[in-house]
Amino acid sequence: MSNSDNPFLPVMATVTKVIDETPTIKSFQVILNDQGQMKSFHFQPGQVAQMSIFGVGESTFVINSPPTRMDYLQFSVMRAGEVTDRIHQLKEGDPVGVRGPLGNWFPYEEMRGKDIYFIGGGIGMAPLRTLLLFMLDKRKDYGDITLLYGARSPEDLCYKEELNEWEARDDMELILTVDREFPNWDKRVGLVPNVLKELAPAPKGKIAITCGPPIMIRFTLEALAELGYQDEQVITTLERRMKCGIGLCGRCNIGTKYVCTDGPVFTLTQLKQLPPEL
Amino acid sequence: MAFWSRAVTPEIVTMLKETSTHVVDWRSSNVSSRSWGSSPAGSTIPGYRPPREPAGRTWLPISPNRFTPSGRVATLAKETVVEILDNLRETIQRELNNLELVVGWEQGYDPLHGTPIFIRSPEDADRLIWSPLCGHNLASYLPGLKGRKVGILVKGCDSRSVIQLLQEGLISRDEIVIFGIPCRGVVDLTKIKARLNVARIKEISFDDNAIVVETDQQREEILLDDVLAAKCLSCQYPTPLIYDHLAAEALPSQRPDELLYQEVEEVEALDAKERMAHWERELERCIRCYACRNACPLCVCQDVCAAESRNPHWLTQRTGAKEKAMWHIMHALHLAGRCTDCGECERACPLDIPIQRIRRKINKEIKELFDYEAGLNLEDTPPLYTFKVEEPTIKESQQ
Amino acid sequence: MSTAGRFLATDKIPDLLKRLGTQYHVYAPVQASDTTVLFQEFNEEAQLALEREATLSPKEVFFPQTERLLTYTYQKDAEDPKKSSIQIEETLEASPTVIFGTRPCDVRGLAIFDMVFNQGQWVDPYYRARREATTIVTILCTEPENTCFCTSVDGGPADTQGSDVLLTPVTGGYFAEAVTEKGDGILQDDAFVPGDDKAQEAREARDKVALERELDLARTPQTILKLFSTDFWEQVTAKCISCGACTYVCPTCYCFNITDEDAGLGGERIRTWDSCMFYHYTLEASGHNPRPTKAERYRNRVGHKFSYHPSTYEGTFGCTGCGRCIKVCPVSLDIRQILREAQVHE
Repeated sequence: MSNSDNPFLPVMATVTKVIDETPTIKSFQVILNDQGQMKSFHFQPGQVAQMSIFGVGESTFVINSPPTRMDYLQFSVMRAGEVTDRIHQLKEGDPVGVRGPLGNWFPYEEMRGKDIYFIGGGIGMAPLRTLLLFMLDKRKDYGDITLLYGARSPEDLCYKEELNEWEARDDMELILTVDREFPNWDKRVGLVPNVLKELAPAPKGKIAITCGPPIMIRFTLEALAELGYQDEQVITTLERRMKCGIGLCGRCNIGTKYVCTDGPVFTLTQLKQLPPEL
Repeated sequence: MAFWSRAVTPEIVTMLKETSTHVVDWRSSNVSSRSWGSSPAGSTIPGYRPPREPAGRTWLPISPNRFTPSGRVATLAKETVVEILDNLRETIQRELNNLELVVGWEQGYDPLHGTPIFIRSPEDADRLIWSPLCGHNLASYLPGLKGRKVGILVKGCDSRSVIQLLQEGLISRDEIVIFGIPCRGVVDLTKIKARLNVARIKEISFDDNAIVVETDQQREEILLDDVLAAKCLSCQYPTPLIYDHLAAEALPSQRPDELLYQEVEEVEALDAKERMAHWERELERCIRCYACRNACPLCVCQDVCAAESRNPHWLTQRTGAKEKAMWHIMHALHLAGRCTDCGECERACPLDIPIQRIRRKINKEIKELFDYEAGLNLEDTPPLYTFKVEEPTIKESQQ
Repeated sequence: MSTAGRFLATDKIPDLLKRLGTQYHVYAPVQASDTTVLFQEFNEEAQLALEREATLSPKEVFFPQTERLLTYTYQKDAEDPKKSSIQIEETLEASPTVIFGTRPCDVRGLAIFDMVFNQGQWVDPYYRARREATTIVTILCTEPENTCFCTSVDGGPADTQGSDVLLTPVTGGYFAEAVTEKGDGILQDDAFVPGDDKAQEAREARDKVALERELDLARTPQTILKLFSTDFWEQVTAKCISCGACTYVCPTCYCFNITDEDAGLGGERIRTWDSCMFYHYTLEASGHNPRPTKAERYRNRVGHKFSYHPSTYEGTFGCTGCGRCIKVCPVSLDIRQILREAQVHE
């Protein structure tokens, strides 16, 4: 942890690159100011960090870059509220604070040898990207890798350049879709859960990892169940309002679990044990 | 939905179903009045399943709180009170056929405390009480119950809040049945606590003009006028100004209206320094719990309160008497021309801070400027909701 | 207990606190108004109020309502005003403190804070520093109030856990016993005289006080989960006004908010008490709120205290039975009644 003596203190970092992903989403690459801290920043795919904008507040984002590529830490931010608004005004060279890594991570060890089926929607691609890149960097540990990614429109797809790269790769399959027809869009059209049902990937030997807006997750989980996926095969990430990020301030709990420390990654088995309070 | 499968349980689906349809933009001005009421009629509360009660009953009977078996209240065992209660119960039991519930008062956790009751069955109505312990302004619940047919018991002061809420369109007249009770006053528990230790009350009884308090240590008879709420000592409207049923004969006002702003005048009599010292001392112990705000019948925007807003950022989270004073000033100003002086703010305060007079001060100004008092007349429009080129009572604006 | 019991006369207490004040910050329950007693820093004008439970718990001494976590200052680059850097500074401080006149329920509240803030993967250094720097002198209860229910949540009027010095009321003062070394230090003061003659009276006073256990909450954690998706919560919270008073007076409620407050080119990041009863407590930036009405919020409050916390911390309830929530509630909502109502569905 970048500051274990006082987990409330962020470490200082600088924005090194700002990428406009979509009209409402930007990605920020940051580097911790202290080189030693940057070198010793160890995290697992799926973990999050709190980005501090001093004077405004903090927000939690998944660390969007994988631990196998430590030139920088990337965070993809959708503009939604006070803090994210200010984050979107950041430019290269601006100072920020970082508190992390926090939370749990994707159980990638248990996924070795399995076929991985990513299902992402909109900004939900952010945590999936981390794990996808991590797995691509350790390609032989995993079976088939498929990414089904959809957004409202072609404009709303994140990581557009990387999508082209992933499409070109022969060691993974990429299926893109948008909600409806658009000019200059020659790929699939349809809501992600519906496309999933059309593709009907067989559950045997697979792990399905899904993230996206609540409505998409809901229908995706239904579709996966329909296709015969067992609870242990399905993983998702949850969102909650967070403040401390370390399980102390009390607000992000669902039953006995805190989304900031016991999550944000949950298997469907774990999810069903929690009180239905999403 | 046709494509459910057994693997995804109905709980998960219901839960997920609700998350997408109940996204409320609290920043929009169409936010429903209070989130702590129920959702609009017909919709379910997110995360809930339909109750699994036996058919025909959709509620759970709440047993009376007889936690201290030894404590009991000898209510005013006189004909008038018994009659009032009988009248009320009978009328309520009749009206319950057309109403979902009726809000009244019942005995609380000890003989000194009344508490609101949500009557849903004729048996519930038997628990009604009527005494100077019925201080709660039940009109506070109405905005949250909008869309449901409910009944409400009101005293004179409470009825003013109902009128104000109707004026502002926050509740609908045809959704409420008002049971009015003429009232001679309710006790201010702070005044009783200042006289004796109420930690172990054994019995409370009322005489015509006295309250008898028996604890494990002492038995004291106190003149009611010494412990009535300040608003009662200057009450001009003992009989509700709006009602569908009146539980007893109307009572005329017996209190002098000169006393109306006495508490305000007490503070006005202090010079600037003394006044500052007074409020610093009193507001130092404010914990910004917002009980005053939530108890106020007119504070329907409590969930998106400007005091807690970050954008615009009016108040900080810093502590200090001045920051807390700013909250109270803000509250009073937002109630200008709307506050019906029910005193719930002060009654609700857990630190017994005399904050009603801050709101009352604004009421006094409104009275002097516009010759207006809130909650008296359904046809009125609060002065700050109107614009007149020539204000009749402001001579400076007259040509 | 290393030192034999001593006797502390009531009239010697102000002097004792004054002397302690030369080495420590001394907090004691003082009359803050006609009807309120608050733990405040003791000074000579203060009127001590030791007989009864204070209006607010002493958690504020360890967990202030507003606490500065750090300060930040933006520094503009002289060469290029568009560039700026930030300096942050931790603001952690704790000086030796004595709290005089807590009650067993208050101290039990601290035990719950300790479980969450002072152990495990993430420790709150601000709380820990204050906790370690404080000596606690507790007065045992001989007269429970009719809102007290400490025995129903595994506490008791003579519970000694967590205190450094115990005072048992006897004629003319208190029989004092040290529980820890820190407490021993306090007892060295001149105000404490030999008290063997009072030992018997103290023992009898402790044995005499009885607070019957009114609630058996053994199965409550499961029952609360069972009732999760029913309209039980809407029914029992009909009269709640969702204010926050109950959480602020509670000795165990530890939820907090973190906000940045600007002041010019710098400012402070502060931590303040928050309440699960407020709408915005779980309000997400998208506008979605998992607990949009008071019923869900109250369900979470009762769930946390009587189900989630005991499930995580070996059966310890997140409640000390002090009864303050019942006393301050503007509508006299009684949490005991809700628990009893839940038990009907066991």
